[in-house]
Amino acid sequence: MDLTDASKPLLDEFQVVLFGPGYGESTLIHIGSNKWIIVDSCKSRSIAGSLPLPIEYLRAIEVDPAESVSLIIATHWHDDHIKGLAQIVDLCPNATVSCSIALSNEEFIHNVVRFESGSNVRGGSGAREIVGVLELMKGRIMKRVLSGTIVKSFEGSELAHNEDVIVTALSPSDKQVELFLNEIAQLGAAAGKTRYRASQGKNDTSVVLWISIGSLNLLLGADLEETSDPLTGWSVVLDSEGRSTGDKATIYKVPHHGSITGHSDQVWDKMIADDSIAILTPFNRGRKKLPSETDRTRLTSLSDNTFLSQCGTKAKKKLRDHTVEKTIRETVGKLTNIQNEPGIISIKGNLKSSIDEWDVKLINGACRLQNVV
Amino acid sequence: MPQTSESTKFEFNTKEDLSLQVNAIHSLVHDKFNLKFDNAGFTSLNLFNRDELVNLTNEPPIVDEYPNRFQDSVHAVLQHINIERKKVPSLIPLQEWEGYVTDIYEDKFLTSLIDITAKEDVATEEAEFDIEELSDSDKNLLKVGAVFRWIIGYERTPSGVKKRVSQVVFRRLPQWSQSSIRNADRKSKEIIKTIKWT
Repeated sequence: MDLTDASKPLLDEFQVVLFGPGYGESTLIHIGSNKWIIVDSCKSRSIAGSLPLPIEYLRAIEVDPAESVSLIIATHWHDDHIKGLAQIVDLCPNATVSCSIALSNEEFIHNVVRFESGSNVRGGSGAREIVGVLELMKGRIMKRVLSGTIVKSFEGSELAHNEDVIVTALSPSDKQVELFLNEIAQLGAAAGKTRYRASQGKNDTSVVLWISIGSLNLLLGADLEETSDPLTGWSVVLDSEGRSTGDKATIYKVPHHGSITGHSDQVWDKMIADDSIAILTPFNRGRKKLPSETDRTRLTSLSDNTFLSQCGTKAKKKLRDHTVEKTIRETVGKLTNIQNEPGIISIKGNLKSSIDEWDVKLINGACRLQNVV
Repeated sequence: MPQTSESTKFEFNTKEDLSLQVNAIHSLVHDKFNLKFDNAGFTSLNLFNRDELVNLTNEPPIVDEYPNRFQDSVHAVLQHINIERKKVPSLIPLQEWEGYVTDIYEDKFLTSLIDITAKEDVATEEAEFDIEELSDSDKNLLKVGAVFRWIIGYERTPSGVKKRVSQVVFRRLPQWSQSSIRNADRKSKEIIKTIKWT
């Protein structure tokens, strides 16, 4: 990946960098004084043996992840969403590692280790990353979070801008955790059952994060979806004890790739500032590509500054023998190449400056969503 | 061609023995029947006794899962090869994928595909298959996370007729055994114990 446009923030500047799509999506945040937070992981699909993108980015701007990453947060458990997370944990030995309380559940850990142990499925068991993370955490501190948990706080006196930084989890709720664990129990990694590749269920344990750097607030929406149940979804976030009702976020990582299922009018109304920047990654797998045209229209109407991390650069069709191509057409119609290169959105600025003065860089195919609509 | 019943006896009392023997078995089958344990070998073997022969592919078998089953299968496999190879068509693969099912809806299933021919180790393509195209036994194995092989190639019948084929075959992965579950749980308990949870 070409990172020549990547630049290091000043000690008193914040920076938010969003990577995706690849295997997963990831957000990298500079909170000041060369202290960084990594949320989830993302790897390029095309380069075998490549580094996770947040690590690649940090190295490109000459930041040592081992010294500078203070916090790593895992919001997912399945390989397809967090490829490279174990590498990140390994390369950042000084970071606090945090995950949803659901992922510390004994039954969950038993299940994922069962999937991974002795798996000879090409492409992995589906649980390789999370088991890799857990193995690396031996002797290290792992912080479990639930809606309302303060994940980590940093004293302003330690930071060049002198502002306190607080990272708060606004989800998952007790009910979400319960639903997730019910689903995990159905995975069925038990004696006498035929092995298969572990798959991510419908109920993830999305950890929505509220990060305040002085008066600047970020809302990272993970993959949380809205539901009709007030004990799950965005209703929980709106009611979360961890949320200060008067504050609004100026940077919003839109949940679930901009899908209508992750949308909540109330969140935009009550939690997002009028003058804000919305960022998201596309989802190019499965039947439903996201964001759809309707999603794009809705998002551009909600914020003039909405950015998508990858807007073009469609993966090229693989070239194959004529006979193979003909048989593919006859069997499945077409193959979709899902090796799209991840793009990067970088937002950098001084806490005292206005949005207009912030430096927004769109790297490797990222664009303003209005340009796509 | 030598009779398989005269072939080397395989004795393995421990997991380590069994691991060592796997290579010997591969070499033996390769030498005696000129079958390579590359993609083509997998395909050819697959035609004889798919349930058991999965264990003899390039991929290392999970030896602690089914030692007795594996031991028994070796002779069965070799005998099958000897008896059946004359009357079963051979398959020359042009392209192979390993895939896993990511979604099932109505009459189709969606899959992620790892291109084995290109020696890839992660899924780089997606395809949608008709459920109706599966054999009845494979239909029973269809579930999200199920693993399969998709092979495109030429099949040559014993009478010499050559035809183009596309085969989707679901892998019969081994079951979790009591011992593998015990070992995994021992490992996970150790993990849980050694992490400093807060």
